[in-house]
Amino acid sequence: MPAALPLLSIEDLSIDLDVFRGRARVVDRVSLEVEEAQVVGLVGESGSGKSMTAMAVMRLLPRAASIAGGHIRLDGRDVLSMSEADMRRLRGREVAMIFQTSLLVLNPLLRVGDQIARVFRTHAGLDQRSARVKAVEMLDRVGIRHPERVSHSYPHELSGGMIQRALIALMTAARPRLLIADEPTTGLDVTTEVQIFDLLREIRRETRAAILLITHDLGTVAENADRVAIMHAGHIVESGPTRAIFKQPRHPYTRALLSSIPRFDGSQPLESTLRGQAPDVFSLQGDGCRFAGRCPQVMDVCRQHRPPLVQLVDGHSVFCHLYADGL
Amino acid sequence: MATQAVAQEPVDLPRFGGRSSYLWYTIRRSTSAQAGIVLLTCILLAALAGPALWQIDPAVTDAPPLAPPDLLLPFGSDQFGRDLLSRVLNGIRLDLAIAVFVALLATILGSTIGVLVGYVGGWVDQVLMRVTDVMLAFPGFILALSIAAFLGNDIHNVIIAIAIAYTPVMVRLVRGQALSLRSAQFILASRTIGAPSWWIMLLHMLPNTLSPILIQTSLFTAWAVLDTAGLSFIGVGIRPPTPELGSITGEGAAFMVSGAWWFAILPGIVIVLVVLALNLIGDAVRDILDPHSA
Repeated sequence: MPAALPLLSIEDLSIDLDVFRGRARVVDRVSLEVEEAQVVGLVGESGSGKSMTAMAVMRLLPRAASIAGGHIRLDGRDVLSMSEADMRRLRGREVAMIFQTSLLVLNPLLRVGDQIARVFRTHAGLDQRSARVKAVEMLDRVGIRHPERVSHSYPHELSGGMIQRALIALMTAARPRLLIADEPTTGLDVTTEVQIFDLLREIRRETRAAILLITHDLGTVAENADRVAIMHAGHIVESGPTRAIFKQPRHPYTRALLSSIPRFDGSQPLESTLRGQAPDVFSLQGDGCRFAGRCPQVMDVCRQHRPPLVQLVDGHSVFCHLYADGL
Repeated sequence: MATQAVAQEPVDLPRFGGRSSYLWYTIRRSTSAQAGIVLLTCILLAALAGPALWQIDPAVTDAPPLAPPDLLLPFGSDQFGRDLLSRVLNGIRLDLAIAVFVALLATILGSTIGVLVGYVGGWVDQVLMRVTDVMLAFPGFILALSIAAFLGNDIHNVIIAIAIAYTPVMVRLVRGQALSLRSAQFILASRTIGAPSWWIMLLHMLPNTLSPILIQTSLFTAWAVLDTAGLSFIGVGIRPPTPELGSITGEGAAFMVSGAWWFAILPGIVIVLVVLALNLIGDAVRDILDPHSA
């Protein structure tokens, strides 16, 4: 491993959510690193805190959420203590985010090209005409045919796949060094999904942008990510190189997740899938393992104490009492 | 390159007429919209061309006082012998001008404040919403009446008073829209790439709120004619001798008992027609911009 500073480093990040039901720690001491030009998958069920973590990096958390502790460093700079004005300059140029497709990811009343041109006008200070030319170039780069014509279209005139391409063009226009992709292909059909990932890979190759891929789909992670972090109920339970995680999952939750992928060769009994639901973070008490309630290998200590971080080989690490005494 | 080889959906979608043909479709279908357009056209002609065609000075007192309508004095004359048709024509012009300014002022004020508080939120929003609650607790007319009485009555103050009375309505409307837009994905996308706040408010929020804003503006215009006339009728609006529909009707009301029915009734009917025309147009605007409510 090179000693260089990682592009993004999240250290012990905790996020509290304050709603009428009470206060809950939806992200609890999460640490994560993304190096330059690396694709890191952040995997978890709905509500596991993966999107909250991403929004904290953008400093765009919803009003009910607050940072309860930890640090986020982007290229060595402390994101959480930056002024809003500095943060705004950072967004788009250093870090950008694409999310789940819907018609409404683009303003329905503005032409697609004008929306992309805006980025060049804000971040590069270009005039209207050259910004428009650049916008058409961007549309061309994300593989949209007839980019000139599409740039004059309104979002409702495009298909889901084209909208997602246009969104990627918009988000990568200012050449961010980190691209957060929050379920970028949910809602797209499988062929389009493959195309979008091809595009993301190509953008990474061209701009050396790192990608933080947030998803619940283990398949896309296996195919695209260099490293994976598995999240459960606000905790990262296991992280490491994709190959290691998929070949030798250590945490019972990771194992359950992997075995929940249907296989059709009959090599696996169907009942091995995970039972129960993720715990309700609002009623959690104590500092025990948040997976204890569903864990098939639960021990007494799991309910009392937070699982220790166990370092395995090659940067593979797991938070679990099972390995407290080594492997 | 994999992405270049990818087959794409054709861009050439059939284009159906768009908004302008929808406009004609709505008008063709709606008798009340047609009636509104015809009526408003007549009223606008009367207001714009009327004083030029009927060249009698509304301030000159050379007719016999309280003369009933006839060919030379189609609307009769008032107690000073002024030609009432001329006064009414000038009154329509004044009332429409006031109404347009009121509607514009209330729209600009209300939508600016509404977008700001909807976007900024927090305590600013809370404080301003309580203020609008208090203002909305009064009927608009009473509010306009007290503001006009406070400011003193000339044309500018009447416009300001009524516009202020209408502003909270627009603030509420736009703020609600802005709040629901806050969580729209394209706003989030915009913030993600570092868009400044003014850009989000001006380019994303206002355009996406434009339909309800325009519907409300057209309603404001109708309300404003009625309220201007009402204020003037009870003497806190436009003061005589300036020809204004409400104040003419107010002056005439005193002579109803002595048999000079035309003095109050004819200007009164004109007020009804102007307000009716504007309301019909308002409904048509709503049907065109917000088809779901029709």
